[in-house]
Amino acid sequence: MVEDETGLRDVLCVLLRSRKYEAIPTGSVSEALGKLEAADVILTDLKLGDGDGLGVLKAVREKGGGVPVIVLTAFGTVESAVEAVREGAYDY
Amino acid sequence: MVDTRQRAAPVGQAGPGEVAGFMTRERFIWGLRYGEVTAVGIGVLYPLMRLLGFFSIRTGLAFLVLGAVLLPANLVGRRLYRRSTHVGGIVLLGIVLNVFLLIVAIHWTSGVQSPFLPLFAILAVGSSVHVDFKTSVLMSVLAGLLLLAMGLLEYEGALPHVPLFSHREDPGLYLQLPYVVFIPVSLLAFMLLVSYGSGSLAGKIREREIELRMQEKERWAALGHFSAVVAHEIKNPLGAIRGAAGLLGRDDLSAPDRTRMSDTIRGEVDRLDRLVVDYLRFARPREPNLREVDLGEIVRRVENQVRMEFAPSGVKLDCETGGRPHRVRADADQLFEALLNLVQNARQAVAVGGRVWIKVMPVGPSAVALEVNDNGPGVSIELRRKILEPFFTTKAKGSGLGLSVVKQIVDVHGGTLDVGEREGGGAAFKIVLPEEA
Repeated sequence: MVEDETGLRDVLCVLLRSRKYEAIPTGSVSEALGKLEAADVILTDLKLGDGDGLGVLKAVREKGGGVPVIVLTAFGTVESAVEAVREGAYDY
Repeated sequence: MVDTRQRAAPVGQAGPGEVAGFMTRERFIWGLRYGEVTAVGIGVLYPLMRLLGFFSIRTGLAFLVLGAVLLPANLVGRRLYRRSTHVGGIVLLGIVLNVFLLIVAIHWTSGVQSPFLPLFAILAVGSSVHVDFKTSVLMSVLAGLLLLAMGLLEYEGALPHVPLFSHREDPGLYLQLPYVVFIPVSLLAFMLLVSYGSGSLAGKIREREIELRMQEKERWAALGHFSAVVAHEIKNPLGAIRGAAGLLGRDDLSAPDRTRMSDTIRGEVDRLDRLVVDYLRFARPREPNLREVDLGEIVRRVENQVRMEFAPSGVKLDCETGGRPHRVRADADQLFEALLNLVQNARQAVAVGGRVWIKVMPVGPSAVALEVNDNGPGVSIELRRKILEPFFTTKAKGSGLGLSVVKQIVDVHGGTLDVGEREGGGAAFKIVLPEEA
């Protein structure tokens, strides 16, 4: 879970845990990139303090991992959705 | 100041940009209106002067005919102008017609001695304010030449002299060559002077108008930014609160998670509360509590406050307050807040291992500068003014109020805030405040 808003991150992690998923909370692009190996699926916010969700997506694809990446945002635009899907996002 | 007279579009063409184009069109119409004013002036002046014993009946009648031609001609010109695409031609025609008819009127009122000569000033002001300076110069030259020609013709006797007074002796200036030449030349000089004066005054007013329009545009843009930032800053905590409340309603949530979620709700509500307080403080700033403050002391307070924030980010902070105290009349808490804001911004701007410098130093004999420099990416020239505007932010997340609060604080202290470039790269923020003696 890549989300720099602490409150939202906690809620999403608790939600995932309540559905019996193990959630690894991370607050920035750099922190997330350090923990990529441990993840089976990545949920990332679009706007992050040190970059954005599309950056996470690109980094995952560059590392050659087939891990699905889902981009979450409260401010979706068609442009960023198209870019996310083009970069290989699993969902937006 | 940019000279608007030179910037004015050539007759008949749209000016640069929409605003200038609109204003040029309006000015043409006003130019024609001035002709109408002149015509009405002649029509009203005649009966008045006739009452005072000026002119013969014959001259007066001719005068009324002149007014009767001039007014509809200008009215028709204005209508034509609104419809036509060849506006330049119509405006020039209008000006030539007005000048020519005014010369005829002047001939009928005793030629170079005519009391109506100053009416040319109305035309000069009109064309220089509402058309452009060049057109006004052209018109003045035309008026001067026509008056000279008329005077010479009367001097030579080719044109009959029409005395102004029906009952008094004519001074006979039209019979003396120096006057016949001097009066048109002075008229030309007078018209040029009036054109120049009114043109530059109008230019200044017009510039101020454009400035006000731009300011209004900027205000709307700021409101747009404000809405976007507020929406973002409010929507995120609301999302967390909604999610946490939904989870709390479930029976299968563990006790620690339950505590966590209620803490999240409290935390996010506090955050929203702080946001509202921040915005209110910006909208209604507190009056500064002015007393003598040592800037070095403010720097030390900020240094103590941010030490803990700087340590984990690996950013180095250097403070240099000079050998002696630098006293200013200020609100210590507000200055602290301003400096803290600048320093926190600088820390966020530099990468891990970056550096931030705070410096206090005298500027001239009666001012002192408080500088915050960093070796980050710096602020591009285009953004230097924008970043001081409220609700403008370059960060992914931020209220966009930090630097505008700094600016607000500096302003109420009678100081200046400059954004520039540090020697060797990075941003340089400089607050200059008047120093206490």
